[in-house]
Amino acid sequence: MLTDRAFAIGETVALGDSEAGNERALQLLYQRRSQEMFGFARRLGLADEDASDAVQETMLRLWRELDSGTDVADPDAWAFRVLYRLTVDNHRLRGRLRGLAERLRPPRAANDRDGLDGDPARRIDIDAVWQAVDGLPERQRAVLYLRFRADLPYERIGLALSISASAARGHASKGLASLRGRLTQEDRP
Amino acid sequence: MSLDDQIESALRRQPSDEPTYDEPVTALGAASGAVQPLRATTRARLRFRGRSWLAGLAALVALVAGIVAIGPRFQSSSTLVGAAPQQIQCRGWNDSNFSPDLLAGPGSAEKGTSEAAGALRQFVSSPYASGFPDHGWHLVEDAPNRLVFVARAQNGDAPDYVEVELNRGAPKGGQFTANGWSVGAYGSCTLRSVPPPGFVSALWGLDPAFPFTPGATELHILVDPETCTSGKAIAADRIQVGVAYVGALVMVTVAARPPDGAQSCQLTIGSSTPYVVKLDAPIGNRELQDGGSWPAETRASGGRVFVPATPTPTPSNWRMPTDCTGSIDATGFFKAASMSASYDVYCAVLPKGWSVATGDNPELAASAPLTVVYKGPAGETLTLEEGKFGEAAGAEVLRVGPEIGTGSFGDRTGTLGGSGGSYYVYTPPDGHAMWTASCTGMTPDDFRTLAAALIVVAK
Repeated sequence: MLTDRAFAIGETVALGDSEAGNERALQLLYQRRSQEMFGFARRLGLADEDASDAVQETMLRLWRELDSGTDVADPDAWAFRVLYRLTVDNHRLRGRLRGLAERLRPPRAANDRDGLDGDPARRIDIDAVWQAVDGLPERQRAVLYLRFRADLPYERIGLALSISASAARGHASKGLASLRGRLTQEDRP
Repeated sequence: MSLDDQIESALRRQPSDEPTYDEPVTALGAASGAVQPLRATTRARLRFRGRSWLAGLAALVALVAGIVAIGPRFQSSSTLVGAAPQQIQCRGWNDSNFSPDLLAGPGSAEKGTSEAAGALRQFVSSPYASGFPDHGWHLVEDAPNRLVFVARAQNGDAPDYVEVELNRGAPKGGQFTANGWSVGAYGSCTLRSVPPPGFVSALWGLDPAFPFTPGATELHILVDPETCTSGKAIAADRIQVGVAYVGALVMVTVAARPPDGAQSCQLTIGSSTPYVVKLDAPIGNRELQDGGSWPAETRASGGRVFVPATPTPTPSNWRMPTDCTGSIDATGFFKAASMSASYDVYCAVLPKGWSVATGDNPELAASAPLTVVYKGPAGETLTLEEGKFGEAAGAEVLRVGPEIGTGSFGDRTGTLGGSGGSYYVYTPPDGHAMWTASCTGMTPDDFRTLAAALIVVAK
């Protein structure tokens, strides 16, 4: 069963009115989610540097929201929503295409481990799946990343992508079906 | 494993083409003005200029950071810090202080007939509150437009409490709403005595460099403030200590003023501050407690250092973190991880030339898998993953390479597999934890030897 990672990590996630609460929540959000935010932006097509900038800009916008006195009670969904909007910004189109093209290169050979991080228990097959994800429509990519990699329930994915929970579930279902088809096709001789 | 399961399992893992993101979010404090983006030569970085509270925000590249020097040992008989907690709080949540008496007895606030109680019931049964208990809630703050509930967590893992804040009225964001109440903060609650204004809570332990002497009037302790310190020990003159002598009890409570400037919240290792507390009278046989946590934790009793009771005798395989391969920082890392986790934390004892390359936040080991990567003199790597992950978390795990037999992970027996210089050994789950070692650039015999030599870090 998937669990709410925000809780599983064991800290308060929502942003209260207090300064200390805000500070704590910002720290924790960044600790918990920066890797996934970075990966999310990359998966939507941003190059590494642009993805990094988008993460930083998201944190800046969150700070601005708090500084203006706005309550942000689901910072995970809020952050992914801002990040999603940033990544679909037309001004970043070039970067997105470049980043996507880099990842759509032919996959490594199975015995080519250069550049992997040294854990043979978790690679290659995983990469093949993610490579197939890169070929999916953007909304499906976003939903699959948030559902599985970021461990968000569909209700919160809906908040992040400004769609309903049932629509998020539908995108995931279609995305998984496409992945099944693509991966099965790749396995055929 | 079905194809669907394999796909979902893969989607939960980090693809190898996704670099580890270790960029800091930059924060500058002690200045006023607007928030301004700061673009460096090649890429944007953010520069926060604002209220001083933001100074504690995670920061690695601190352009105008205060450098915290490790101060000399400092003698103090200050009583600025309350020694017995009249008020407690969920750590860092300074505007929600309450009496510990409110947590007495079994909580039942969720059983109320008010709209707020109904909202609480609906929230804890919603997907937002996965893992929250559905009963046992205490109302610890009861303002007209704001309620705070605290309950003991029931999953058996630290932290022990969870909190839910309800605010009257419609939310400004997209948070949970029911019966005219909206949920504000929610999550875990680590209970601490309330520190003085401008200070943060700090925990302390007896300094092992100085044997505990019940007849002495100086108490040598190591202080760990609960704030970001860029991994450095906080200056001793920022520490305040209160001592209360109550019958057969001596309660020492410590607080610390956070360091100036931007501080990193990344790995906080080896950052305890040595401190000498001057006592009015020897402790003798009285019980010595750390009043910073709630309930207070005993540090010594009956003239001896107190060793917390464990359900079973201390395992004979426990070793000191100083036995682990790595620097002094690595020692602190493993000690912090071991103290945080409910499961056995293992570290490696490796030949000369090996070192610790990376490690996750050890303080999170109770709830997030602990990963440590060692690098060898010829570029070999040895990776340890420990805690609640993989099969121990109910997930299916894809492993590359055939299984080739059994192997040891320290004193545990596991499954050995792999090929071509990359091998792994993983144990079956034990409760909510399991352990995996994997390597690159090694022979199976070398890997088998190193994995078998892993040791358990004493708690």
